[in-house]
Amino acid sequence: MSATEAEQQVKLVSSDNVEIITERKVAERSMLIKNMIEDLGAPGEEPIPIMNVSEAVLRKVLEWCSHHKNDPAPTQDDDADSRKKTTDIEDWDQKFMQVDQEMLFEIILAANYMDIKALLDVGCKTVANMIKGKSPEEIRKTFNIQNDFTPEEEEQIRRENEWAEDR
Amino acid sequence: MEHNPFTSQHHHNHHHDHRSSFSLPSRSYQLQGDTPDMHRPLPDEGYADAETRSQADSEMMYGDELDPELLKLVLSLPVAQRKLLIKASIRSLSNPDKEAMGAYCEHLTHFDPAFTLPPEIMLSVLSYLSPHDLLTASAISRSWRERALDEKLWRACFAQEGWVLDRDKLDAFEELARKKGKRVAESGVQDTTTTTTELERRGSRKRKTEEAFNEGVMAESSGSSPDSVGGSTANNVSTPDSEEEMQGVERSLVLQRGMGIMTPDSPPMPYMSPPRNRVDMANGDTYLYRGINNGRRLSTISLNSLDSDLNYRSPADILMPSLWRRGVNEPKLSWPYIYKQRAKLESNWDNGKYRMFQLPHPDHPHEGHSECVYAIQHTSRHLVSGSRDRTVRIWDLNTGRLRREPLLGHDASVLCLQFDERPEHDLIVSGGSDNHVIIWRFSTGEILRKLTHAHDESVLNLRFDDRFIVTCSKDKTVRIWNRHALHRSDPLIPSHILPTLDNNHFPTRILDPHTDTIPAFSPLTTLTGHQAAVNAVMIHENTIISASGDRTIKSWNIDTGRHQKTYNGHSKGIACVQFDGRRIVSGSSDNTVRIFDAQSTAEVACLSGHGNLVRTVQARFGDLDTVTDEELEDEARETDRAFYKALETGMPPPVASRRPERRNAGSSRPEDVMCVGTKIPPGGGGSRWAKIVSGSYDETVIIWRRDREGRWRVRRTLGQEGVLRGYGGARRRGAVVVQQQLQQAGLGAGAGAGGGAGQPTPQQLVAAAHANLQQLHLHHALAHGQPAQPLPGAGQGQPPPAALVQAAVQAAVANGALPANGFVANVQHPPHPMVAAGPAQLAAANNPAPPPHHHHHHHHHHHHHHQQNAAGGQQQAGAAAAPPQPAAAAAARESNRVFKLQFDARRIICCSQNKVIVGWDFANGERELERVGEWSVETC
Repeated sequence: MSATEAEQQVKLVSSDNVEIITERKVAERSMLIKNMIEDLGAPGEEPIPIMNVSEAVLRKVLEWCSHHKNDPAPTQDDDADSRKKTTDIEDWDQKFMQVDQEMLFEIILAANYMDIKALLDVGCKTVANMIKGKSPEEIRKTFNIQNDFTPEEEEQIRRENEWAEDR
Repeated sequence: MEHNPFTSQHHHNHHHDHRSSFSLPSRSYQLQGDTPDMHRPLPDEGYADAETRSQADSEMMYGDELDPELLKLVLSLPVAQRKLLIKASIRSLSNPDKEAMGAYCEHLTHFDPAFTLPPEIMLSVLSYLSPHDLLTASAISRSWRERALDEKLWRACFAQEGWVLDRDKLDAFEELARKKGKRVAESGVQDTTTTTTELERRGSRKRKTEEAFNEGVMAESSGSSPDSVGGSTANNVSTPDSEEEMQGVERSLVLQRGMGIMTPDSPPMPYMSPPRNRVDMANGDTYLYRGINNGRRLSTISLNSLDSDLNYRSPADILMPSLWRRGVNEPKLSWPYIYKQRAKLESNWDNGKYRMFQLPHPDHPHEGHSECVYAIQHTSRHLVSGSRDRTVRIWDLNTGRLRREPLLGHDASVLCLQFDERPEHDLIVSGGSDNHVIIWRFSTGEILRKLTHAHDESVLNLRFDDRFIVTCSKDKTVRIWNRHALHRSDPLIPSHILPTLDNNHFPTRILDPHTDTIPAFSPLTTLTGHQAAVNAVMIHENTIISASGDRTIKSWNIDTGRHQKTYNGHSKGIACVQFDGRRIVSGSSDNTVRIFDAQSTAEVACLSGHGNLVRTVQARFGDLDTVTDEELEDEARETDRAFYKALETGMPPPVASRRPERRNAGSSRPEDVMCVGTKIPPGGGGSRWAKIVSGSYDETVIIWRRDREGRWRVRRTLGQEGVLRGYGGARRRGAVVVQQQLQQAGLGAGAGAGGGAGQPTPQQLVAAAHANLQQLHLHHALAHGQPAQPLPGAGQGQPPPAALVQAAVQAAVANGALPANGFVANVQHPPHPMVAAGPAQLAAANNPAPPPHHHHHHHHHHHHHHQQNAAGGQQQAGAAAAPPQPAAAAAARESNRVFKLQFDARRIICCSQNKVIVGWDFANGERELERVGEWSVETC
């Protein structure tokens, strides 16, 4: 992508039909948009519909993309499964993710839909950090989860998990 | 964004849109066309009246018939006014309705990720959790439990612990279950012919990776793939497993749901469309879970016809991980379950839960070696041992019995061996104090090849890989042999010998000029440079590591034949060494185990805990497959930075010191750091299960584990008496007491003389003690690293030092009548007195010196052996009146200096100066742990 291409403006349309104009470089953090631009050609002319992402969420996502527009391209190394996974999140992203749960999940869903892996990872880590180190009851409270185990089942699970307690 | 959910009706609606269209892709919402939130079952908060609840529900359900004008008016009010209005309105409601409103607010602000997020994203969230947190997550609710006990998650957890299973063994087990049924497989009747692959897979990280991770591919190809739901689930249905009727039912259920979700005319779920996640995260199981979750969701909302189908699963089935994966067609092992068993096995190590065992089996003592055992190696099924009795023996670890008659071929003590039982290898290589190396066929015991005088002196250690055999000797050299015939164009031929191939005089012509081929087992090259005996070697890829009595470890390049690096640190001779490509771990006569950074040669840890020479060591750092050298180096740099920072903030710089207390056992604390710029962090890095096991002349085996700061600590000290206690430990204790009393009483030679008519004379004992020192072979080498203290040799007719005499005699006395050994084998071969001379050796070891003549030591001690046969005969007669002693009681009174040990996931096995091979089985008698132990691949 040439310098002029990077500075090009692209027009995105949210699910609630709001047009948002942003830098092509910013928008192309989304592989969905990048592929669409490549497939359609002529960026900037045709508005790009981002179905199912509302204006509020799309603006938030673009805010992230703008901050990270100069990040190196994600590596193709998808062997992440076997790597030691850290839930460390850089400071800016951490602040960015300090939103209510509704927005947090909307961002994750949008990142998934728009194929922004780094943002999706940050979102997943944020949720993971809300789970880590808590008791089942605390987690239920955090996410308003109904405990649908019977007391007998709960006891059974507690016993089943005992092996991991002494470590 | 505003946090009060009632402040933005617009936003609220938008939220519903999302949830119904993609985050909760359930048909029911679309079909029913109303707000799903209203249908969410309310938490049980003390009101159980279903009537009231549905009334409340219905009132809320018709909320969208609110007068639009009124709503508009309300929404135009300032926030404060709206709050007041809502509060007042709520007060007007019945208590159940108030609670329902509260729950509704709760519901608008809190979201259960297990429902809000598509399964593959939820799995991605869970993939950041530790096993402990995953277990917690699994106890939250049913849907969480199904997500958190996902196969792929736990397979990843397993790999992240640095654990590896033998893929072939798992396949064989699943195959057995497939053919004969799960019960047969579980019954543990192992088909001994199918398990063919085994442990010896050093040096190949790639292979390890495959073993740990090819599972995923297989699971996906055999399970239902999310990309072809219709096809593969249909397949599953068409091949019902006759033994698993219940699974057949479940599959067809999944098929229905799957079709329901993914029918061509139902719109695709937009947020699930990017292919990456589907490929990465989804597999057959997750797809299945998705189906069930949707079903469950349906059933909680309205009594759906699917509901009854769901109930076929017994609660226990959902709740408890079992050996077999649920909901798949073929018998597949379940990773949450395997992880649990493997973790339990490790915790048995840490908690010292084990069962001891011995070879020979106590019921078959005649199968045992008749003299001390110098070398052992084992796989999960077999153990091969080499002894001073000149034999090699092959044992079945499951039965504790000899597999065949002892292998005869060595003319003197067998000092070292390695074997590979895999059919494509099928060999044992042994080396001895007869200077020979013998290659045997493992399966038949026949001698394939005898390399007579492979070295000029005792062959002290050997290692082989697929290409080479590397031997080392008391003659100070290391020699490399080819395992297979090599044509002169073969790249395996070390390049540095190519110019000499046609030279008739170098060193002997190894190339057959007619075939232009180097025959198998030719001496390719000899590495010289050590100043004393080479006690141990390792081969790893293109590098050979040698450890010598000259206190150094050297690395050599096989191709160039050049010496590459020297590792200094030990203050005395080095007895054993291990190398995994990154770190070198060594044990020495300075009583320490040290870890060196192979790259930089820096010593990164020094482990003090043994009270005598460390004769054998094995380390397992448990690197993750994916850990790169760079990552390890990053870890090392991190330590360096902390170190420099501490210096800047006033920490006094470290002073080089040889005092042992200044050594660092692997701590990363700045004040402990001894070196910077290394390629591996202090202590060597590795997984949290990293483990070192060392065996010493102090008669103990130590299990080392790392503490939170990375420091290696003695986790457990194992003595061999345990196994023997059941057979006469009381007698041993008695013997020790006697010995102490004698020492306290200052009784020396005189007391010894009064010990009994059958006793050897003090001179004989001293001679025996000397012979014993020599047969240790290491002695000479190790002594090189020690201040020379001339010790006159008995063989040269000089008077032995008083201390030695005293110790030797005390030993004899302490043992009472010299052992009338209960081993049947020993009736024909009366015990050599030196086996009872443990304390004498200890004394001698405290006054170390090179033996006077080492060249023909084995003749020397065999001479004694014959001499002592006579004495032993007498003693046998003398002891005849004494009550018969159990075999192990006699063994217990012998010295237990550890010569060689090996551990795997399940066992430590060691051999010692004692004839009995002793093992600790950390499966502790639990069948499930034995099984996972058998499947485990223990990496170096």
